[in-house]
Amino acid sequence: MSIATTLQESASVDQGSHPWVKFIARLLAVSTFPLIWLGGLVTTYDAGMAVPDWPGTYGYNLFAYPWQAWLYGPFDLFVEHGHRLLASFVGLVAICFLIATYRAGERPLIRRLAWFCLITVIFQGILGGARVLMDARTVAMIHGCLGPAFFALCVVTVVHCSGIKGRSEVGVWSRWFVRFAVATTIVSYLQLTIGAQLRHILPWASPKFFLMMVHLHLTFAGMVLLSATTLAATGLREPNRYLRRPALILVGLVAVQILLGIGTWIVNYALPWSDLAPNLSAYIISAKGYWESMIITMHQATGSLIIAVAIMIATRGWLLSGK
Amino acid sequence: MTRFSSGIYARPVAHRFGLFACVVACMLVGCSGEPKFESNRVFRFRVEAETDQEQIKAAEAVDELIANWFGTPDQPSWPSFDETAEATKSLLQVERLVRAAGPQRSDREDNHYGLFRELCSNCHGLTGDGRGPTAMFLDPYPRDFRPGWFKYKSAKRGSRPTRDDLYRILKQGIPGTSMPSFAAIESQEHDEKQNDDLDAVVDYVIYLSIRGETERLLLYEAANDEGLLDGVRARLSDQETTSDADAPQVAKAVVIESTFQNKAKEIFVDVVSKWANSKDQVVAAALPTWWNEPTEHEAAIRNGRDIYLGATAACANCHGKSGGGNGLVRDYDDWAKDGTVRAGIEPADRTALKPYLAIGGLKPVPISPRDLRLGVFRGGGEPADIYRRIVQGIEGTPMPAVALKPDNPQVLSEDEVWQLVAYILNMKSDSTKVGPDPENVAAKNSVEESNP
Repeated sequence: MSIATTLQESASVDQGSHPWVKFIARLLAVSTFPLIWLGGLVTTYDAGMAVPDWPGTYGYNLFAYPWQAWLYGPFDLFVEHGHRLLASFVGLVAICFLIATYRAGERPLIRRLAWFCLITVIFQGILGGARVLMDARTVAMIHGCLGPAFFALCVVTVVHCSGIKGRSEVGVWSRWFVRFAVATTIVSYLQLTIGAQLRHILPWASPKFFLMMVHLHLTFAGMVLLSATTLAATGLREPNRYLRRPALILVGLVAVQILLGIGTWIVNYALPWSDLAPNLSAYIISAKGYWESMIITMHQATGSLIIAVAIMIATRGWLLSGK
Repeated sequence: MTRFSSGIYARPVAHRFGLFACVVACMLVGCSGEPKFESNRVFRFRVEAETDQEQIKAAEAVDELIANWFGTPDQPSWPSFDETAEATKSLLQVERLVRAAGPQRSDREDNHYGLFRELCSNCHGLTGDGRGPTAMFLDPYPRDFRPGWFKYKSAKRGSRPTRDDLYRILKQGIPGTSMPSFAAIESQEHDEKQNDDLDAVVDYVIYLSIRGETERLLLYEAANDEGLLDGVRARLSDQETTSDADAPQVAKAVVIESTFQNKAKEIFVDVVSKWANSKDQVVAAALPTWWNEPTEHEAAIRNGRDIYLGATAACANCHGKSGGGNGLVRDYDDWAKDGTVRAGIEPADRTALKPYLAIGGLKPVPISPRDLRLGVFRGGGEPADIYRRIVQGIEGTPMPAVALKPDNPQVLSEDEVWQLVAYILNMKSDSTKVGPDPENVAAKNSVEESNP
């Protein structure tokens, strides 16, 4: 029996997508998260311009760049070239996913999602190239904002492929739950874009603009916490574990994210009120230090994870509510 | 409805996408301009207050000349005169300025370029004016390099720091503040050739400081001597410059054609000399012979305590009797006073401050004396550092210098200063707890009430 026949037969059963399609969709989402992490490291280490050309690397084809020069070269080059390689892998997975959806005779929705994933990842790659060729931090910021959006798209695709409707007979107890999940997704994403503004701030931006963005970031942090807590509170009454569990995880992630946010501030700008903690007045920030860089990058990556979990809950809730 | 408008409204998604694309395009276009150094508006504000008249012509002439001599953040230049050739060699390498300037990038050999923008400008600003985007949040505010005042240095008060002083601050950072340690960036190149990334940053800081101080002094002269601007060409950028074949491209030999340019040259030469001479101004600080003798050291600590509390050194007035930093003095540093007190504005008067804040001045924040019991000293915690802090004070702050015998028989001897150093360094181990100094809290509160 050919693979194509197997794929078509499996897809005819209303139990979600074919196992291979599910697997590739999951692979796409799972490999996007480290890509976001690595992209965050690129920004943290200011390594965005470590490779001046695109799509090649120092005149080589991206995949032909000597691995010794990559692994044993400067750290900035290691991170930037690694980011490009992983991004190429994700692009390749997106192509495979699209092919698999056609070979398996998937529903039009899944095919459309596959096309959307591929187009987004290509556009994201072009943005990354434009950031390098134009040497523009603003493009880097847009590139940084689109990454989490693509991750969220992958998660939506995974949920659609999972066949959650067929696996659960229990619907959604409250329609408000889905609405809160959508609201949390939107607020989290806006919060991330504000964070990206702070992270990619131009050196000639005015202090007042930065002040405004920080206040906005803090306000949105409060809104994310409020919406996630409300979602979890509503979620506790949901009979469906596919909704209840991630809603609680989301609150945990938001709590961790707030701690990481405080940590990010401290490792960037020291304690805001050192008089409150005089014993910590000896702390010296280590620029580009290991822990400093990890905390900052974790804060950025956790932001993406929050969006992904929130949109996963929203999509699951939407599907389980009979849509 | 016209055919055109019906077409648009028939495709709302395409319309929105077009709008989004326009916004993105505007953002991209908006960020493509070349960054520029900002003129010193706060100092101009002060000069205008002092002279009681607007200084538009003077400011424009100064801006033109400074831009012509010192270039832009992406393409810095260094005015080259015979009088400053030797001093420049000892002070900085103009080719390293290129490495530190411009947008951030790195290459396969791990050479980093645009170092100032990568490491410094978010706080210190592109011009080194201490007004980077993050400045409002930092306490203390990032240093404004342009007046040439530097707090922590081994050289005498009033002189410029040495290259080693600046390098040390970059490498070690400043505890309890937002100034990080860049030790991770230091490389063997510094030990071998004094030519690593941090050396390039030191060069660039010196460049920004000399540029800023020349600008300040020239504006002051131009504002106070109207004749100076006679004969100044409408556009100084048209003036002739000659390239020096031996010097790197960034060095620019300037042709002096007017009294104004001659004055600018005088000021520049003087400022460069101050920097070049800083090595000769280093304050010697050799430990006394008794320092490592336990019995004598104990006695010195006891004597140091009496000196600390005594009227001659008067340390307790600011730092409090137990060293908690809760003394009775409430003051501002010189950076805050520059555009306020010296422009006739009371820093605590919110209404009077408005024009100062409108031109980009940062809200003045009272400076706090150090809590000595913490054992954390921003300018370095070695005995020699503390000794220099006492005998030279901290430039730009209310921390005064203590005159020494025999120059002034009424004050402290060198040995007494070392006893004071011994006492201060012993405060940490001596203090049982850290926190507000109860002896002085009530007194401080009463001072704050009278100074809202």
